[in-house]
Amino acid sequence: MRPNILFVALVGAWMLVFLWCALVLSPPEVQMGDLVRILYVHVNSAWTALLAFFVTFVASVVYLIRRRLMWDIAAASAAEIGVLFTTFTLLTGSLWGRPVWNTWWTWDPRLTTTLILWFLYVAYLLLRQTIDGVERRGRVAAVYAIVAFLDVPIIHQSVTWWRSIHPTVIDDSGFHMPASMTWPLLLGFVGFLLLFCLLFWLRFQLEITRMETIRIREQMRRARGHKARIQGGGR
Amino acid sequence: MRHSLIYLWAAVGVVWVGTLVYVLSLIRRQAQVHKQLEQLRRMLEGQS
Repeated sequence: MRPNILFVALVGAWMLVFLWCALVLSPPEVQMGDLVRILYVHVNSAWTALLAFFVTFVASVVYLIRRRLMWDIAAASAAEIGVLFTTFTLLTGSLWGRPVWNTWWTWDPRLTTTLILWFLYVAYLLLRQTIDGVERRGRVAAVYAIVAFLDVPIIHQSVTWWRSIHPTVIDDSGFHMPASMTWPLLLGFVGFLLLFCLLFWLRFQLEITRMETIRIREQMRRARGHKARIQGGGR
Repeated sequence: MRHSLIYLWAAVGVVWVGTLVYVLSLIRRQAQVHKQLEQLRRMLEGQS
């Protein structure tokens, strides 16, 4: 238990330092002023969401190869966190767009493909609820997750494939922002990564406990069936 | 400037309140499942 508390304390302390750097130390931008600070939570939420969906993708591929339940649990856990952070990305983007673009929402390629991503993984979580049987659910969900992940490279390329008004401060050639803004962003990236690890661990533990209850229920059902067969044979 | 700060605090609030609510929901779900597990273990011991 002690290392868990230490990890929670580390994540909390790191996040406080990140918030202080992002909201106080980092300078305001010339045109956007303090609104640029939304970028630190918006971009990091987007990165965390994409990381979570990448974990879902990898875990789904490994599940289809190895067929071990642990990988299916990892895929589902990461997908739920991915949906949470995609929600944050969409909401914080909207809160930035209202004062800067003068609209809460526009059908920009990057925004639209991100919204599609959100729907795809909400559907993934709903799909898991509707399928009976651990093995069948794992197989169907893994195939779906692999196909759904195709939207991630489309989001990345959307600003180059189509005309987009979404700012690209970070691309394949690097960071297009001053160093005074780059380091709080990277500090936030590490903080969000730690937060993802913490949430993933909590969600994974929950699913392991739930699987244990399913296993015991199954064991009890088999025991009752066995008892009924013995009683039936004795008559 | 003061007007734009509302959007900034709203964005920061969405992320931190959202994360906190999610963590609390995980803890609540874990407690529920743990309670179920304990009940099932007791029932299983009673059966055997």
